Amino acid sequence: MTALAVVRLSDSFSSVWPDLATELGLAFSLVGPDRPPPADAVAVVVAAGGEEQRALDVVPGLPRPDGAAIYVVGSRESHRFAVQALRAGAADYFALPAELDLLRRTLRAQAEAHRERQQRDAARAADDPFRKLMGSSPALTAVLESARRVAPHGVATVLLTGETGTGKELLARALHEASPRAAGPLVAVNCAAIPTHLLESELFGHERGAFTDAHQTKRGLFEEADRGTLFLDEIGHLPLALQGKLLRVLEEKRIRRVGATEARAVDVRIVAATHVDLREAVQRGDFREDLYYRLNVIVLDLPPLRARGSDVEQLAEAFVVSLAARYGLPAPPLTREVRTALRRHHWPGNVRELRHALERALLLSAPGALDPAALLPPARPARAGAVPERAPLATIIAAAVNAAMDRCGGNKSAAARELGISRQRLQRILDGSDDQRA
Amino acid sequence: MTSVLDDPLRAARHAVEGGRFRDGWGLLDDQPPALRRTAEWQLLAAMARWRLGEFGPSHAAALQARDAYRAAGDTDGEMRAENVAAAGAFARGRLPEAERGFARALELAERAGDRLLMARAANNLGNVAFYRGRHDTALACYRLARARFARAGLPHGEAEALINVGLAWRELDRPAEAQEAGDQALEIAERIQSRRLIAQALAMRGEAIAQAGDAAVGRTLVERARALARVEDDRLAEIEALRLRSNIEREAGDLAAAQQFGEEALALARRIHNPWTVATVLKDLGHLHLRRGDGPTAARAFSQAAESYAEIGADVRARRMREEARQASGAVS
Repeated sequence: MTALAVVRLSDSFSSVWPDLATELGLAFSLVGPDRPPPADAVAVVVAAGGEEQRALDVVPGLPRPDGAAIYVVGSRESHRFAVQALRAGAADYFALPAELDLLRRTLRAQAEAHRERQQRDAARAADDPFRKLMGSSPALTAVLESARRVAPHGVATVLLTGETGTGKELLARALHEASPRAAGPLVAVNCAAIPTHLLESELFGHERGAFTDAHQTKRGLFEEADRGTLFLDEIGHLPLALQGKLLRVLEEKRIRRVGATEARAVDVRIVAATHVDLREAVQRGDFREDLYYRLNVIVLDLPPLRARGSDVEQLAEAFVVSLAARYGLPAPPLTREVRTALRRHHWPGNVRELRHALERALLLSAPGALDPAALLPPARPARAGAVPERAPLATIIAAAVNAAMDRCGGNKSAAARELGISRQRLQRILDGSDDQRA
Repeated sequence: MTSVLDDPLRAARHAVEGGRFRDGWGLLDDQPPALRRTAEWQLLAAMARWRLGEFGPSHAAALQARDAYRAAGDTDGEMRAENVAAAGAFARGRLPEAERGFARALELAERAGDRLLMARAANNLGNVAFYRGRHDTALACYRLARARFARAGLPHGEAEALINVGLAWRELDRPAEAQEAGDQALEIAERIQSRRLIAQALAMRGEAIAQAGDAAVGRTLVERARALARVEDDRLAEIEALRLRSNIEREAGDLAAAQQFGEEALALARRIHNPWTVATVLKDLGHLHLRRGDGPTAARAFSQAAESYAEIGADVRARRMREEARQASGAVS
């Protein structure tokens, strides 16, 4: 519910505000040093009856929610003071009790205008394919402008670059929705997430009998994306052999299933994404130069969150509202301490990390509050120190396992592979029940 | 308008297709012998009885329907019957037969362009692969199912496929990918307001987040999933949340709490007679007992898990549990 925010500098007319808010269909929100106006406030009233001079000091530094006006309310009927209040940044000054009705009418008009604006914004946002890529920083705005120009060209291949968590998949989806292919499928594939020996079959399909486990003919994801868009995430991980096959698809618009003698036509737009530097990958010999130049025609580079300035707080406000709704909690305001913490963090995980951090803080803080200390998880304690050189064998083994688990971020399979033992043996060592058999 | 004389199976068909399986079976069971020998009667009976948990009769009826449709050259009927027969085989633990059946149903569905059955068959093939311990293959099937549900405009199916993707990633010990799948499933589940799917996605995310080292958030998410599961009266989801909670506490070092949650999960799992769930809970309890230094109790848990896995044809997992039991028997207390 939208709110009437009140900064109470004096107790004069203190009983007016909650009732006035209710009358106008608004929530009542008391603003304090650690409690800024909520993001959805329609107006901020500085209730300064008898403290009018203080109001002139307070108004300039007040956070101003988007679209909200600041009104100073006092008991002094003074034209000169009203002008001073306007110069300080207030939208108007009202002297109570004489101008209570005027204040009421002004706030009602403000609330109605706010609701209409919200409805218009919501309708506009609902139609905008790029709505989920929130932010107004110059860095993001420039990318989105390019994306909007590129999207309607339904056959053009696009390469999205940027660090992990910057929104490459969101942008791919937006490009698809804004294209003439929006009615067709969008198929997303993470090339790094598919084992190499399965990747060709998964992308291109296979014929029955093409290899040992090919008991039936299977269509690949290129065919599934026919007349739509195929999003190839982490394209830098595509094996060289498949890079050649991809290049042929881009050039000939035909695919050949594994084990097939004939190619078949596909009508697919490719949107590729990578967080690695493909030019360096070409120089290392890990990426084909001809494919690189084929992809490197329309490139959209999503900026890291630390380069997006005020977008951090804008995103945080939106995430807090949506996450609070998800968990049935009141949406807490972002206090000065929280905003400071958000601005100071480097955000290596970008927008995804920001969202998870806010989720963490919301879940672990008292309802209606956001503890800045809860934004980031505690550093994972190391399971063990260095592997001892002189100790019983079981101790050395356990220490080696713990060290591997630390290096692999708790991933047991990866730790087992690193140590050259089975996952089952690793689990036994962690459980303290290993009999040193493989 | 056809009368009941022209279409005697109409009421039964509407009941079964409308999800009123007990009513549908009641109507079918009332039919005369001549009608009961028809392919459609057999198929409808198979569908109804599968949902009622009568897997043996369902399987038999579906196979008869399939053969009859095939003999009549009715590929649409054959496709549907093949899918139900494979589901019957799956429920009875006959995994190779289920795999062949779902693959055949998929092939027929692709030829017919039946997007919904293409998606379902891909998902079912993923389930078979998952049970057989072939998680990479399961992932490939679930990804395909997801793409097909999305193309068919079925967000519920898409969210279910994403949850399956997350479960497969979990088995492959990739919590970051599991969490990502859970995030995407949760977004869809919230959009379509499916509390059941929200609970599943929250539980998966909670486990992944705990595995990544944040037990506090993981615990909170799993508890929320459990609360939602109770509201929805979804026993399987509630058991899963209890099991995950037990694992989180085990890894956090609170073995007493882990035991309490694990035993509560086991009691519920046994009450609903779900062998897969019983086996999974027992497996985790086995690891807990090892952590407590109680090898013999761990060995018993692993052995019982092996029996449950074997009951549903999950032979690879059963073998693994027997090996764990053997190792635990020799473990030092």
